[in-house]
Amino acid sequence: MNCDQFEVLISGYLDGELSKEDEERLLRHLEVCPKCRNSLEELKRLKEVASKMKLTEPPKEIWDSYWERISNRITRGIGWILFIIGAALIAGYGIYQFATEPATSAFVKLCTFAIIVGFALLLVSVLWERIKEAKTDKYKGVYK
Amino acid sequence: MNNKAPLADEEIIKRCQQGEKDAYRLLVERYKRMAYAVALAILGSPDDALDASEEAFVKAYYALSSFKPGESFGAWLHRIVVNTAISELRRRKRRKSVYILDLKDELRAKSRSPEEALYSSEVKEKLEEGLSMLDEKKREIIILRDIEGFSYREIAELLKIPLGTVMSRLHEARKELKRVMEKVLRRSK
Repeated sequence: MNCDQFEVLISGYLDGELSKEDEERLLRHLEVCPKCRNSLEELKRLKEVASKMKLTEPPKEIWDSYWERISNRITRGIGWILFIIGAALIAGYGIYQFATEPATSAFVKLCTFAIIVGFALLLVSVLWERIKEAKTDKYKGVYK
Repeated sequence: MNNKAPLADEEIIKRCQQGEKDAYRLLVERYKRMAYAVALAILGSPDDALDASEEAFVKAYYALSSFKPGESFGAWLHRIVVNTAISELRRRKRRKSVYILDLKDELRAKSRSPEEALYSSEVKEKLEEGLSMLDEKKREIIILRDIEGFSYREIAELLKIPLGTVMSRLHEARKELKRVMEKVLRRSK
């Protein structure tokens, strides 16, 4: 084994994750290699500094209500799915009833469909533009 | 019989798949620190990391039906967190460089001299700056091991890599962190 291979073992040694055999091999090498001893000392210092730190945590009340926010998001998602399915089914049923109803003239039916299709096209084009804009907006990272 | 042994992930997932939404809470409590830490390593902002980790849990809940038995939930969730955080990062185009580290409470509580406090805060800033200069994989493995204290086995399971790769990746990450911190220290002198 050369120094590069022993160097990798140094991290495992510092973390107490080496097998007995590897640890003994590394310790024997450290006795005769000042370069690896130096590397061990440097990494030990770095680990000591890191061990004094913790990740910045959100305020306790935010952290404590973590599950509640997830639960609300899940419920909202389910609500939207049910709403969209229900609305689509009702709309489909309504259109079918209207189209097959004999009392209404073909002209009125045609005009009504033109209005519905026109409205749907407008809605889709506005949504499409909004999505495109959101992807390329230079200022979206700027918060008030 | 009062069985207090914690439920295995697979058992909880089975309950969730049967529509028991509250069972999911156990998984959320078990993995929220990991999800937050990974998102923070990628996004660099506590607020964004909180939001992305929550979103990842929601996505994971809706995708539970596609979860394969025998797979590690932690590793599966980790991929979802990484993907969610990366798409958020792409949307923002750059990683925020804000404060991701704090001094541990037990060290902060000790009455210290102003010099000691200043030294600690400088060290913290340098470490943060050093970490922000690493690539995501290296930053993530250092945060998981050195800040959050995950074992090599836990990291290997989360990242789906062999134990030997955990050790070599961690070593590379530490060496690079040492290198960039020396650069940061030289610059600030």
